Amino acid sequence: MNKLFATLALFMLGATAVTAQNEATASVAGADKSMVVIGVLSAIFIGLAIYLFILDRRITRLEKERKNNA
Amino acid sequence: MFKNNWWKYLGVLLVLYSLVAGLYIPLGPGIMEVSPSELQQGETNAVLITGHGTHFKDNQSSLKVWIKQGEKNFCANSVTIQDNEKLAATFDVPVLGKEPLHLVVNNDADGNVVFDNAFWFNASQKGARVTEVATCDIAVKNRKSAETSFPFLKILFQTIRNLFYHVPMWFAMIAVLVGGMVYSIKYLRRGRREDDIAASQITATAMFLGILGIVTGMIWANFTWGQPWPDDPKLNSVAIGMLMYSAYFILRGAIDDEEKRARVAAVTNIFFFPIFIVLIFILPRMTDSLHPGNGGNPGFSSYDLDETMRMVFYPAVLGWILVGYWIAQLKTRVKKLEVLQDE
Repeated sequence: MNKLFATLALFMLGATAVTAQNEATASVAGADKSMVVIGVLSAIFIGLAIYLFILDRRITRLEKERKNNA
Repeated sequence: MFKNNWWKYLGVLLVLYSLVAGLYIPLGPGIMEVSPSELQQGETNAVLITGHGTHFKDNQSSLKVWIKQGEKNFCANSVTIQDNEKLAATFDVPVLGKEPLHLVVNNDADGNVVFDNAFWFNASQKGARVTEVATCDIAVKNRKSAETSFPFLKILFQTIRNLFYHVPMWFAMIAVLVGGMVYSIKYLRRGRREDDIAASQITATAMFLGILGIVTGMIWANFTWGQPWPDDPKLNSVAIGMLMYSAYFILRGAIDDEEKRARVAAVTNIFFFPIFIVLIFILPRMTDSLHPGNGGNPGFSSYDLDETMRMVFYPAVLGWILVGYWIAQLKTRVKKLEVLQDE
């Protein structure tokens, strides 16, 4: 469930990045295509952050299990 | 969930902000080149000025060009604008002193665009035609660029943005190392095994951040200093420091007795931290270093790190420190689970 959610979130981010890029090429003349790079980097970092959060939650679950067993 | 983990969200948000803002904010205007770069003393000189990201043509009415030498200013007597990034100017240059010559171009949009040490002058002055220069008016409306932008610095150019990504690695590494040392002290005081595990895992995370710092630094140095590992005291000190900490992990691996290992490791870790700080902060300052803030080089903070840079740099540092601590915490918790599993 978590994985599905994370993947969906990443796809949505990709979509927003694409629209942002189109707007950038249309209006902001000086920004070149740096929006594309920003989108890619943000996607990577948000992906990593989501991964860390999922890892965090899984460890919490294990810790709880331990506590209950002990 | 959120109550205990707010700092993790904060860290992610700050890093994300630094990624976006650090890349989105444009590089400010600057001067790439002047030609010729030799001024004829006592003559009228025609100079072609090539800017980058400047708005010469759009702000023709407010454009001013002058050469600055110490307290003296020589205004251009005629300026021909070709486009936004190219203009030709003529200067009447009298016989000059030995002080360096800077070129300043100002208009309302770009503010003061300065090219330090733009010119040198010919040694011989035969038949000085220009002997006196009229006083010129260099009062300007904007000294700063109207647009929010990063400073345009020679050699660095666009790579100035690396300040937000390379430098926070080191700040985060040191902040995380402090945490490791605190847990080592805690272990020596209370003798709890959890503290030993935390100290080792936090230090390992710091090493990871340090390696990222070295790799990003090598990429940056290859562009700005011409080679990935120039002979620089800061680099060599960091290499020694990293080797020192790898000795910490070798030491841990070498001792089988658990209590003995924890105690020796804790003492080593506490002693290594001040040595590491001396190696990377104090020793490089005593010799010449390429790094800003060391051996005669001004630090970014003195004048290069302007307000716009700070706005991105400080959040980036804080964000990476938080993310670093988060990773360290995860590693510690996993290790604790593993160790308890074995029992």
